[in-house]
Amino acid sequence: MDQQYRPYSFFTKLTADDLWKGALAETGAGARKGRGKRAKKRRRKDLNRGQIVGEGRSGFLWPGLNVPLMRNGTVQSIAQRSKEEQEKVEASIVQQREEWERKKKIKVKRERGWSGNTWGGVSVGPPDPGPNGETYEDFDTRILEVKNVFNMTAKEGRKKSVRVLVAVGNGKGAAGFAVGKAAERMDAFRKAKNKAVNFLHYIERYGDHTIFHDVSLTFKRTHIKMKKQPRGYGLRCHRAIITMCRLIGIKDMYAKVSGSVNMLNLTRGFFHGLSHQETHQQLADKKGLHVVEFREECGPLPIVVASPQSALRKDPEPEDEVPDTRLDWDDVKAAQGMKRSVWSGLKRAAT
Amino acid sequence: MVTLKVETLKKVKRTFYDAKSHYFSIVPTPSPYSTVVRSCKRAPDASPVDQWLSYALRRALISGSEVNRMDLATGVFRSLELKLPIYKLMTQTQLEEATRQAVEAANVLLKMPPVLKEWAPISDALAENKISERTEAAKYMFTNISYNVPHREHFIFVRGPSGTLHKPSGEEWDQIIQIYFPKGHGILTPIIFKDENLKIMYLQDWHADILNLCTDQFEPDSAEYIKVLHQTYEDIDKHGKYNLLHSTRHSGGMSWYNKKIDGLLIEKIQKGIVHDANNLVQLYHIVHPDGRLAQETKEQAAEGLNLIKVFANTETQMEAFVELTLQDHQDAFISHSATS
Repeated sequence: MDQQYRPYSFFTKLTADDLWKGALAETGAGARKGRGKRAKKRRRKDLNRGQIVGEGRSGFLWPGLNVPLMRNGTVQSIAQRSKEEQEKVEASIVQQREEWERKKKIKVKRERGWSGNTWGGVSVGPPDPGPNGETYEDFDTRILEVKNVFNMTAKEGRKKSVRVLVAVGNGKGAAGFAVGKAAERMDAFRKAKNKAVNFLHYIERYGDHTIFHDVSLTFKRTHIKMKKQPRGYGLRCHRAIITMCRLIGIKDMYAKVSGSVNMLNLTRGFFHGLSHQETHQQLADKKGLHVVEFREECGPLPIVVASPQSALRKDPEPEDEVPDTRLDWDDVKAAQGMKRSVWSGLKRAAT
Repeated sequence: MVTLKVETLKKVKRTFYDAKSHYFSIVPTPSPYSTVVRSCKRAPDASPVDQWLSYALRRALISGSEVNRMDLATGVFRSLELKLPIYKLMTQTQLEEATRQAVEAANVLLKMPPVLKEWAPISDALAENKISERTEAAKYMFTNISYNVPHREHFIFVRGPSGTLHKPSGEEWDQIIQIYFPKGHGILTPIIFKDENLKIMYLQDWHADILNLCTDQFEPDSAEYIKVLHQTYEDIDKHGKYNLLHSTRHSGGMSWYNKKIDGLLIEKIQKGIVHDANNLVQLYHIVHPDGRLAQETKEQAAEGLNLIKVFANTETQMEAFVELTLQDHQDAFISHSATS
């Protein structure tokens, strides 16, 4: 049966926008306050796409419209296609439309973060270029947390807002984090990553692969204990800390998070602890002595890692028989073999 | 054979005399950067031990055993453990003390294995006994196994099936000593020393480890040891892999062995180790005092750069190559001669 065709009807009296507004029903009681169902989303389609002025069912060839105006210097005359040719042209148009539909329907698989449905650990590309032309091509941003937060308004009542915590880093020691809030998720990502680039920390790394010394800190109710590890150990930490270490450029570290695991406090504490490390040079300057390293590979050979820039002290550092350091009960238990944990010798995938 | 009194036997602790360490007991600790000893007397028919001792004294001047900080860090102490480094705060004096101790430890590791001639085959019989000829099928070996006697000075006699009493051959000596004073590794030759296996090791640059293995396994004057040693040195020379032995205890042996030291010399000049190249040429001069080089140097009283040039003119086959490298590194030479 041939498709019905009316040159003048209800549909021709209204614009495409009006028609679509009626068909999609984006505004309505159902759409407000988050009542809209996720599956029921109709998409607007531009029906004028691919249309050429002059193409019609009768198949006339109008020079200047669907056929070139000049041919060998002379203006062409109006012609008509044969029936077979016209059928072929119409079939090709139909085929083109079907291909467009198919391409639209392909579902692009979203990059998997820490697990299937989370946005944690997902990359959102480098931050946008700055106003003075700075580009941040070597910076990568990773989402740490996506949360739907609500506040009550007078008119609508509960108003949803998306809050996103994002960390940026270039893998060479420069890293930062920021929170972005917006009504839409993508806007929140954009706001967060552009804000994070303005709050960068430079984190000193030892040998470009690990921290200088063990750090144990408490930020609000979050306790983080970070341990320096040799090359090849990998990152055995909380998944958020692994993401942040990768952005900073730390490759080998152990970290234990205890107490609260609030993502904001965790990130803040982590960056605070790392930025307040004492590098070997700072230690040497503070003590006025050489900082000497004894490596297993080098046997008894002393390697001077840092020398004080100011005066060198003559009197040696007093060394007690029992060192006056505060021990961690957890570490003592592990060293004495008293720790009975199924997670201690676990073999994980390499990071 | 020395018989000890009973009381002294009780007092004397069982000490293990390492055959190689005995040779080192007289050599003083080498000091790097010492000046060249020009006139060295060398008796032409000295015993292999004496020859080697005097060489060791001179070898101490030649680098390769020169304990360099970088060598210590990268070469001499080698281990593959996954441990964290230990940090200490030290004053200058403490640091110097620690460095000195490290240098001493490195010197112990860099003690060169002796370079001896092959164990001479049994020359004459000590006694002949026609009566016991063809009575026993096996050899009888009589050994002195007192603990305080170094292995080389044990009196060992072998009465063969033919009735002759003679000193043991190299293999016999090795076997007997291993029975009473086992070394720790087996008596049987490991299959790694077979030619085809050695070739695989050379392809993977395991020369230093091969040399360590064979110094542990064989006696320095056994045929297999010398064979493996020469084979390794030849392979290194052929491929120019001199850097493999650079901070090990075998580099001295390699310099001693090479009849033509062109490759080694060029490598040293290219690296800019000027006094090294100098010392190498002087070593050659000492080892071959009858060559044209010795005469020429005496005539010209050459030193440093000139010495190498004279050497290039007289002894090497790759004369042009050596001169080219010399020209390339003229600056290094000039700066060194300015400072020294």
